[in-house]
Amino acid sequence: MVATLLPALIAAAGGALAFAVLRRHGWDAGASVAAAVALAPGVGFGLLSLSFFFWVFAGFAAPGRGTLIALTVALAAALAAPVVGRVDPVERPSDARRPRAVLLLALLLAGVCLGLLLWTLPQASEAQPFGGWDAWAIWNVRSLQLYRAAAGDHGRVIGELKHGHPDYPLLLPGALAAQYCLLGREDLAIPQVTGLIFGLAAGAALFAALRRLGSTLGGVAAVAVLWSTPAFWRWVFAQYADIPLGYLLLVAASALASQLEAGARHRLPPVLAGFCLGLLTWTKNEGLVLAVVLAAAFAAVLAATSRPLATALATVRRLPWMAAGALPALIALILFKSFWSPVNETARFISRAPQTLADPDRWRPVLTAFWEQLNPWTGAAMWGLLWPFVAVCAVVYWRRRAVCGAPVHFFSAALALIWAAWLVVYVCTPADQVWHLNSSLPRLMLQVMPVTLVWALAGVGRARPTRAPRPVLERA
Amino acid sequence: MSKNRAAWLLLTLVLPVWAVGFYHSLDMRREQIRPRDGDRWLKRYAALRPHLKGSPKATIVYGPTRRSQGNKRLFRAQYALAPTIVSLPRKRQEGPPVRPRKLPLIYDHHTRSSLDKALKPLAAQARRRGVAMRTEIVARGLAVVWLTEE
Repeated sequence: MVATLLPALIAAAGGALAFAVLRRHGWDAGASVAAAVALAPGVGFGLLSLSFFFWVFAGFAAPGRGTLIALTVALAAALAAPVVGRVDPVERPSDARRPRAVLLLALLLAGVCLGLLLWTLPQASEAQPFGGWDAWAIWNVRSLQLYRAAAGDHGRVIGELKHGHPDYPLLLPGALAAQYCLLGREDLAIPQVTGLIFGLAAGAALFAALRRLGSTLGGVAAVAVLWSTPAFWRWVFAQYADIPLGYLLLVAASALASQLEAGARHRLPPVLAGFCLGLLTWTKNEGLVLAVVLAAAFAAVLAATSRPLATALATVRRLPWMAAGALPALIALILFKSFWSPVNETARFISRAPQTLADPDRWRPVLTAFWEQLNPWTGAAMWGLLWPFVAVCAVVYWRRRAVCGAPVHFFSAALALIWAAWLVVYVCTPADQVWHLNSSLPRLMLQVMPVTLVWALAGVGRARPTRAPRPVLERA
Repeated sequence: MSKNRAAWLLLTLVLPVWAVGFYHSLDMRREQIRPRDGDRWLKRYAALRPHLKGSPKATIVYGPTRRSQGNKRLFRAQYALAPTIVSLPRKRQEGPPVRPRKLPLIYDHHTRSSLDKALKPLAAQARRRGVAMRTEIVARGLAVVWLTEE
């Protein structure tokens, strides 16, 4: 029972911390709750994973309960301390009248899926207690290796592994191992429940992102679509890192998008935004690609969208604080890659890029595989009508692009770069191309799905940027 | 377009997406609750642990099997024996070289007769090369082999 509740308690602690930080920054209570629920697992499991890693990297065996809690609290305090870009409390504008029946119907659709997810967890856990292949070959085994290794031996255990992607970063394994430390034993319920929490949090983050962009109904509709997508059901109980990565991508993208909003009312504190971006790199290798893409899209939209000089400078002044927030995860990643992780295929990938990109025979299977996933005739079993729906939203966005705000353009730019990056990865892969596509393409698309839904529904929803409130008092 | 109308239009778009997705998700759900191998394999490989005597690494040699099944057994052994690192012999067809080694070999076959068939030439080679071979049978088809100096 404790093992089942522990992941939820950790997420709740993360949410409480996020709530406190947001309130210190002047957010109103309602918006703080929505955002805190969305951020809860990222903050909670992220802090836990980093604390655990730094401790064992320093040469100690898995920490005891008290030590781990102290380390996590210290790291949390360091991140929560700076108050940057505090928003003056402003009057909450009166809620625009929403058609009640429509909202209730959308809530019903999402609620049916939520109920089914919760009901299925015990059955799925009993059917596949160790999760899918990648769970017991990569993520869960790594957590056991981290938990069981003797003091000072973690680097050797990971560095000498020949199989099971030992170069993958350690957000999920570290968070699982840390929970074993808190519990005092290993328990299969920990990865089972942790996996579902990330799936539910992806829905919460989707809702919070669209609510912040001005569309509550869009948020609920997006959650209903996410939780009814077959690909989501395929992997939500598998105990993989793809749904956590998709969740963190959404949270990081929303956090960056909020920095571009015209009004400061619900701009995420930059340290928190940076922390989410850093966690992306700490989750999987492609997380680093995604973080770079988000940063590039952010810079491009910041430069391209016209705004008063003072506002632009204020945004630029927040960048060092975002970098500071990302620092713990980036330091962990650099230490891991430099001292523990065996060399991965990146160098071979880069050296092959020029000739493979120019070879049409490399493009053909990739485009075919993408098309098979995207079109509803062959892709319905995995995606339903999701991608045609996104295509319709894309048309609407294109027609309304002049009135969409900078955050929506940021999502557009980020998604365009991400899809381009995935195409390049598969064209240039040193692995067998067909095997690589078959074994991973749906999961890579799943990672991008939540962000795609935000963009799709934000583009069709309320488009006018929020009006800037009275000048914001900023303290560096 | 009024806000009310736009909201209903959005829901009209979302409803079929949700419905088709939900329909296919039920199939996916059925697949996720279909029982897989439980902890049978975990118990089988975990029984090796006392015989490995805390060894940091072990090489697993599995008997004739489809390639994918062999990989499955490797990863399952890796999971069960963590943090001991389990790896395959460099030359899988020929098996590991017969020489004194600090690290144990795990022989994983489906049946006792298949295991005996694999160990017999190993024992003969060890005798020829003056290598002491000690075999610990752990379960049906599963053994730990230590090759040491005589």
